[in-house]
Amino acid sequence: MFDDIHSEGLGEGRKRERTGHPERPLADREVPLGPPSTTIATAVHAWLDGETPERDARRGDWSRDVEFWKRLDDDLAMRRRMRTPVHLTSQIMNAIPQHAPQIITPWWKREFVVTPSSAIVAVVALMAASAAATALVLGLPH
Amino acid sequence: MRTTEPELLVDQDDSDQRIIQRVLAGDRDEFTVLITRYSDPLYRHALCMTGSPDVAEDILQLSFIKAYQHLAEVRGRFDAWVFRIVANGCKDWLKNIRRSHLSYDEDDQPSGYATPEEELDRTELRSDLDVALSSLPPSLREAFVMKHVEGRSYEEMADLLGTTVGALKMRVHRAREALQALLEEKYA
Repeated sequence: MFDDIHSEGLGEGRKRERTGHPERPLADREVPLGPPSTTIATAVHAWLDGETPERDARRGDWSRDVEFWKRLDDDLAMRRRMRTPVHLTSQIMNAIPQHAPQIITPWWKREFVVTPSSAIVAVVALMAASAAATALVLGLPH
Repeated sequence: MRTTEPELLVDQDDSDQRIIQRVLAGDRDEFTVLITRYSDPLYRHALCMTGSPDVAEDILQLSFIKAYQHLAEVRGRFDAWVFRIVANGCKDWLKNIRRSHLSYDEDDQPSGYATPEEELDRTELRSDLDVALSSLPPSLREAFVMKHVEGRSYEEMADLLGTTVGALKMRVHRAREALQALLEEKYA
């Protein structure tokens, strides 16, 4: 309402401006347009979210919106009842590998098994390494 | 408007974790229980996101195969984990393919309408809603479908998508306003 006080001249000015510069086609615009949008009252959103009863949404001038969404909900309700096609489960079972899923354990989490032979090898290797290190340390000053 | 509870918690006498342990131990057929338990809401999600029953089936099949192969990596809820696989599959498909008009296979859906006129109205509305949904950006479409088709709460949606309740409310509100702008002239 406030904007309408001096709107006459502005309106004509806009009209003249428009006639001087014909609208560019949509494809030429630099910024892509989002989907078209309208404003839905907060009360209607609240009703659609299940937060308030329908009568609250119908207060004011929003009955038309309520009717629109009730009509749309008929289709949405049908979509809510949709079931997976019967053949799909067996189709998936036929497609998955025949063996059990692999359990991949990182090496640092794997169980370390010590056998007698591996223990002997480890001890011998340790002794050899110690002897080599000792010889190296004792031999260095000479 | 009515929103339904998701059917994700149907018959969970045997917990998902126990079933997963049995599958990992080599009982491959137990995986059928998980498919049966969760396929309906996942199929609805894929169908509403892609608009094509064939594509929805493909996405579901690939998702369950992936879930089976990586079953040992499940941490936390299986249903949330497999939902994310399906949702990502839908988003990947949408990135690659743009379609202007898609409709469901009529033979798949039973008719609950009495007269041919009502049937025609129903088909037209469904088709128009498909087109309107396909014109929404994927993030808005996903939020709208999760709210109005899958009947999830904002809290559950936030948990599944890893975002905030406020952001999701905004997406759902924007989706509604865009859909109403597209359809109200014909249906209001």
